[in-house]
Amino acid sequence: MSECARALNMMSEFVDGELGAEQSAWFKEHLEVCAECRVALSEFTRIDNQLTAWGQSLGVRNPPPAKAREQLAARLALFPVQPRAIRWMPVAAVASIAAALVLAVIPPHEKPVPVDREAAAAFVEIPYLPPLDPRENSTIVRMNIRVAALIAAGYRVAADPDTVVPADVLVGEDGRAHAVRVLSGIEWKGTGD
Amino acid sequence: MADWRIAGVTKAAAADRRRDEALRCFDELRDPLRRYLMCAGASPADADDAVQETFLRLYRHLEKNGELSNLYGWVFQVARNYLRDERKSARHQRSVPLDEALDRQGSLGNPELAAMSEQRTQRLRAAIEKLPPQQRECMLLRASGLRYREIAEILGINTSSVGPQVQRAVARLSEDLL
Repeated sequence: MSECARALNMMSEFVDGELGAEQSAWFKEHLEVCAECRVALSEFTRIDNQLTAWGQSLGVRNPPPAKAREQLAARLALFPVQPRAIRWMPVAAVASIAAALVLAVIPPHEKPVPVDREAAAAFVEIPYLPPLDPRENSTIVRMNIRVAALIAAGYRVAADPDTVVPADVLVGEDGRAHAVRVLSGIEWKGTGD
Repeated sequence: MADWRIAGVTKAAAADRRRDEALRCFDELRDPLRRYLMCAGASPADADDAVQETFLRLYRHLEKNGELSNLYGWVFQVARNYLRDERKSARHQRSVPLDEALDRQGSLGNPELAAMSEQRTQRLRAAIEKLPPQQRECMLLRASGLRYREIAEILGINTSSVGPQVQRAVARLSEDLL
């Protein structure tokens, strides 16, 4: 590559001030001895200035809406938190969760309360357990739980202890249940007052 | 890790992080993206719609754990595609022709200066339209206020390759704008 070709290729980085010290010094030295490249740089700068002035003037004359950021934030907040996928866990893992929740065996003839998605509450952490780390992977397991088991785990539930309710259980990497979301319209007060 | 594990708990926290990330990108790229779209002929209203839609799509892209090694390239490509699709759409009624948009811009302030500015802008715009696609993109992205290094990133070429592209584009524009 000739010196002039090299200098021409460096002009874009030169006008942005992004040439390294060594390259910049070489470029300036070349300009001192090359009238053609000085003219080329002058032309490059002229067009470059025209381009940037055009974009700037469009931006200044047409400022963005004052609340554009807030509008975007509000629209983003409307996106539901999508579960990526709920997959069934191995039987052994389910058994360990059941143990963690002190679940009584639910006889097959006992029908759970139907799932009522609209009445579904948010996940409530199980009391006395350390919270999950925000970066920890977790698994959601859907199961039927007896209200008595929820009460035993520390939840306040105003329902017949023998009632069986559908619920999602959030299981941490340690295989323990950390939070529960009841999927029915029972009176579910979480863990607090 | 067993394949049944999912990023769950943390779904709400992860959604918050995605929202923060989308808003951070919005703060970083909103202005150059608007300028780019307006330079490409979009009305300000269309540019603002495209910007909003682009960052909503960015959120959804992040939600799918989509690849985002080239943020600038992704954002400008999505905005460009959105604008193109909107223009194609028969339902789209708000598009303002470039000349009309320039007339509106030129009518502000000193009429003589505005007329001169408008004339220069129209000549520049017409000259850019005649460039080959990659050189045209280079010029529009430069007009949006990006650095040449960022332009190279968006176009997926080496920074050292931008120089020759720009040089050729500038040479052509110089001929047309003499």
